[in-house]
Amino acid sequence: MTERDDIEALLPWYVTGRLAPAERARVEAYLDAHPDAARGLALAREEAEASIAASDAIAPPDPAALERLMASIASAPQYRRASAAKPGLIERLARWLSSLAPHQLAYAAAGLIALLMLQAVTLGTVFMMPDAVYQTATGPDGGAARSSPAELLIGFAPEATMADVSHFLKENGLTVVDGPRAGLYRVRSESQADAATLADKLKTSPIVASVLPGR
Amino acid sequence: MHHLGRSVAASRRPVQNRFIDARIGYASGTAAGLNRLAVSSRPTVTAGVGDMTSPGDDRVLIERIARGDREALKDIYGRHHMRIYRFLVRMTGNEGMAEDIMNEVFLAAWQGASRYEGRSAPLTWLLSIAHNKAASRMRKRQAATALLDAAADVADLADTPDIVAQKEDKGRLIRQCMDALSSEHRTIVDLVYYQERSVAEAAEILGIPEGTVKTRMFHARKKLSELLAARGVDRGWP
Repeated sequence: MTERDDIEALLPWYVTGRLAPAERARVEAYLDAHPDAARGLALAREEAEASIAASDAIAPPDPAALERLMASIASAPQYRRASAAKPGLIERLARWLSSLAPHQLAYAAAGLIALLMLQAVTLGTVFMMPDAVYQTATGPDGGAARSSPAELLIGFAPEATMADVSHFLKENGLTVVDGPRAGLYRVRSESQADAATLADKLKTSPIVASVLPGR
Repeated sequence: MHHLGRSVAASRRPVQNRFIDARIGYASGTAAGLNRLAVSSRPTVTAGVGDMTSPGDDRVLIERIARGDREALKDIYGRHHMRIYRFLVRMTGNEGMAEDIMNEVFLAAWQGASRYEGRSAPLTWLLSIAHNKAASRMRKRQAATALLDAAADVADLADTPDIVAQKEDKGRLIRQCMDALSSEHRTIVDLVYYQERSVAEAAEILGIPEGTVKTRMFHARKKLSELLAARGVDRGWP
């Protein structure tokens, strides 16, 4: 196709005003540069007028057609999409936003930005404070550890007798809750002493071979 | 043209002047625009009548239809049934068939409104349904291949004494030749000039690429020129 053919192909839409701006500009530039192309434009306009006149001349359909349509839909089930019957959160939010006037939309956007900034400041403050150290409940100094009985894993010396062990447990307020596994007993302290202090104390006993944290 | 049933030509009423909005398509505010305004006229023809509804309003109606609102269906029927009906008459060449299909189009809109995704203008959506249903109906009746034998029609018409008088009315002659185009060409001409669909919209309605829309319209116009030439009107194009 030559450039002229390209332009000729666009003229019908140029005449009806349905060309994209870039194509419209292209047509106009061509028409400016080629005055003889105005003939093609006149033909397109002539065709448009004839087409519109031809369609306008078509008599309307039977007025009873609407009645027949309404009668036919009475027995016609509608295809329903779940979202059509009950719009979801995103769709409702989208509808609400689209219903806002431009200035309302601007206020909504400003409010959202302010909310985001407040959130950023709050989070930043919390995490940047020196005392605000994030801890897990199972950490060595966690509140959960302090509020629950200390547990330790204890390995006894091979020469320790059962009587020695029983006496040791009673003396230190310990209860065996599990074991032995791999030679270690899991014991729980009935005192409020923390695990580290208790471990240091138990290590001094001659029948204790090893003490490990239980949690 | 007996196979057109109640044909377009047979039903034609005196043509009314519908150019209530023959606006001028100039690029205002530029030297080029001013030059065009002063030197020549490039009127942009618009159908004007029957297109006073906004796509936004139509979308609201379709949402209501999807919820089972029958009054909304009546409203959208009132807005667009003439355009749909005329498109179908132009495409099928048969008013009875066009009326039946129009009923099917709005019934389909009623049943499938919830499927409308809003990507195109509601009128384009309705025209797309209309085109699909008409094409299907015409295929079933083998009407799609029973296109008007334009050359034969022209030869017949050229032999009648009426033609001499008709030549005095060029517009009427063009309309007659448009009726003599194939269904495919009548359809694209109607979509572009009467329905005022853009290239993209016509492509969506017809289910063809945009490039094919342009070439199909180009060939339809070329065929129109040939038909007119056969009847003694040399348009000087192509």
